Amino acid sequence: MVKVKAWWIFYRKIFLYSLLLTGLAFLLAGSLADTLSPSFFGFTYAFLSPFVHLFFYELGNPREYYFYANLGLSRIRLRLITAGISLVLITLISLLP
Amino acid sequence: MKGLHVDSVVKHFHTTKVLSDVYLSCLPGEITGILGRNGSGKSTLLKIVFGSMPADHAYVKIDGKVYINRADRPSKIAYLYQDSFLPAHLKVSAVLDLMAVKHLAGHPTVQPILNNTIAEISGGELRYLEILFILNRPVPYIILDEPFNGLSPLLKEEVKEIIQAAARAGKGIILTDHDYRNVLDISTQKYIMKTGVLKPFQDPEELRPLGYLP
Repeated sequence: MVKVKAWWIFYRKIFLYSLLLTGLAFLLAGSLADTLSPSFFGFTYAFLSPFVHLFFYELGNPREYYFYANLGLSRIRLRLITAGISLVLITLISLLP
Repeated sequence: MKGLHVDSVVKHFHTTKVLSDVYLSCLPGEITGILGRNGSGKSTLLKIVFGSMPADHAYVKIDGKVYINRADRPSKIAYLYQDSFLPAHLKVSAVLDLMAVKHLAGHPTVQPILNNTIAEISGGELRYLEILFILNRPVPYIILDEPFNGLSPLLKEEVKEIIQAAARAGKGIILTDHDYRNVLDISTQKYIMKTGVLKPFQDPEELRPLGYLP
């Protein structure tokens, strides 16, 4: 349970900023195109979230990894989770009719 | 067999050998102090023991069990990183909860700032809190990388007291710091790291020929 809580605290920042950037991209693309598929939103989020991870944790504050490591979440595990969520999202969107 | 035993640690950074067949042990109740110049490999060794850095080779045995998988070691070891590492946006109360140290909520230093975020705490006070939280983690072994860094003389004394109290409570503690006087004050086992080799010593006078003390 602690690991789940810790993971959510870690991922919440990635989630919120990725969502914000995806929304902006959606608005920008919407102003340029006549119609936009909802899957565009999902693909954009899946593409952006690893970069948000990179920006906030790898470049911004890599020291925080030691907090999560003490709670049993290694740096590699956290990277894999972010990448995994993107992959699952892309797979789900691809399966949509 | 009780104790944290680390053996045959070898680490290269590219072609440079940083750690050369290092052996280190720490028993419950012991305070193992490691001294060494900048870049001698102290922090690298501690990260390898904790599991946050891979080694070319390392044998880590904790209380009789060999820990091959690095990710399993935080269940037995807590690690204080050399700089502040708590997420700035979290409240102190949330950190207490996550780190399983809720019993510290009534501590005189913690209680007044329970609802503050980490970002609102001053540098020295934050370092003290990090040390307090790490020492109280429900694990038998503690690694402290530069615990005296950035602390006032008064806080250094308090930190020495809480480290010794944790050792008296049965925890095995490994620490390193450039403040060698305070390390020597509280350590029950003393080592010097030089050119990737860890050497035990008893008398600080032994450090002069090694070039650590003037």
